[in-house]
Amino acid sequence: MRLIAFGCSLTFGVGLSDIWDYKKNKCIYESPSKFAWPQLVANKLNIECVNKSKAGAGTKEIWFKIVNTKFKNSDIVIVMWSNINRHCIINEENHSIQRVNIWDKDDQSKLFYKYFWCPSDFYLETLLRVNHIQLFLQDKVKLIKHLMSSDTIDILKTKLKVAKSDQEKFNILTTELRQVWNIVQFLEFDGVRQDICDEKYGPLALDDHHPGPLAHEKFANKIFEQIKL
Amino acid sequence: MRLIAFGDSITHGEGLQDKWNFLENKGIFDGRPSKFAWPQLIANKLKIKCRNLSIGGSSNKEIWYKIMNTKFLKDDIVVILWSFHDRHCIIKPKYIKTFFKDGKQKTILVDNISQLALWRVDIDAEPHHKGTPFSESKIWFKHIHDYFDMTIEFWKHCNYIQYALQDNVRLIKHYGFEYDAFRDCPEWNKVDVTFLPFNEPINGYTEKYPLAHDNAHPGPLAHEEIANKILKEIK
Repeated sequence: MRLIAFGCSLTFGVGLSDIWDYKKNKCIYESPSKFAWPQLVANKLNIECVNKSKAGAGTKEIWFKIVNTKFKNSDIVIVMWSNINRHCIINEENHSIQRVNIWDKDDQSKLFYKYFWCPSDFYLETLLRVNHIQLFLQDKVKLIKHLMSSDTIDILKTKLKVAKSDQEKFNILTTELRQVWNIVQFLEFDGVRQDICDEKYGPLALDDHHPGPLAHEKFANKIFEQIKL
Repeated sequence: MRLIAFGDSITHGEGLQDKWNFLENKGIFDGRPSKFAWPQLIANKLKIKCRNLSIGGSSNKEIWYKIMNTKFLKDDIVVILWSFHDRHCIIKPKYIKTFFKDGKQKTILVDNISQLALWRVDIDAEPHHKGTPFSESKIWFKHIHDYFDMTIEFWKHCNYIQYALQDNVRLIKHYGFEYDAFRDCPEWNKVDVTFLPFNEPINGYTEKYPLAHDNAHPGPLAHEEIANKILKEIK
């Protein structure tokens, strides 16, 4: 049995001590941290961990990684979906990923976020990809679990609680969101919230941005409680 | 039993005789599909009701959205003719349209979908087509669009629809006319999409038969052949 994890920097364990270059004061991106939640959950289950996360990955990149992965019937798959405001283009050559991020300064990214990025469109995209993975994998593997960080869930929840005058505008979207909520049951990673991190989860990681070791440990416990066999 | 069809202007039957204003020599764009388009021809042969829910100018994403917002019955036959891969759209929040009926104010929610298409790049948007200003299509195709990426997106959309509908309707059939999509079919694809040779230089429908009155879309004989081909497969 294997635990296969997909996600972004939160799953990779960016900023954790074993992948931190103390001299240069920056993260080493060669392989994921053994202190990140996937390895911690696998340790508790006493099974092999395959952490296929990539720092900076968005929903589309994670989706593409999953559909191109070979699974076994006995695999436990855990997907930590990323921030919805990341995009990428899949190139024909070697299926390489060309990232288009809101913080990038190149023309392509600037034009994409100026003209074509629309939150409601990207909520739908996220829901489509999450649902597709659920339907794609549910007969192929032993278990699938979908996770999201608190900041992403907050954005989605905000849309569920829009002001009354805007309620109707989002009527269809919210209905679809609720359906997804019921189907996939997102598990929330609140260790990412800087406002509650110190008091509840100890200090942030060494990059002063990502969740620290205690947050990963508590999150791993939360996942383990839900998936223990 | 009903036949429910989804697609773009080809499925809508643009340019066919009941969608053509012969006096002004231009198309009729009233939102109603042609009764000479392939969906109605199939339904006539099967003697069942036809709901042609195609949208002129639509991308595969818009077709996916339309299907996801359609209510189906268990004995429906669903036929989808997927569109060109160089089209895209942005699905914006619906807007509220207010109107008066029988002296009372009423409001409805209206879809707000901006179409991005290659044909918008060089020509200004025709008045009957909704969408972004043509300059946005220009930016999209110059800086963002990638054909392979859109082909992957096509396979995602049709796979999702297959999973979502397969236990909820009697039959789903997928058709496509983008030859390159079949060449780039990913390993993870689970959907059988039948290729229809529309614009192929040899034996393509638009090559074999006269075009419709707009000189752009397939004519009545092409629709007849498509209907017969699909009918054979769903009978």
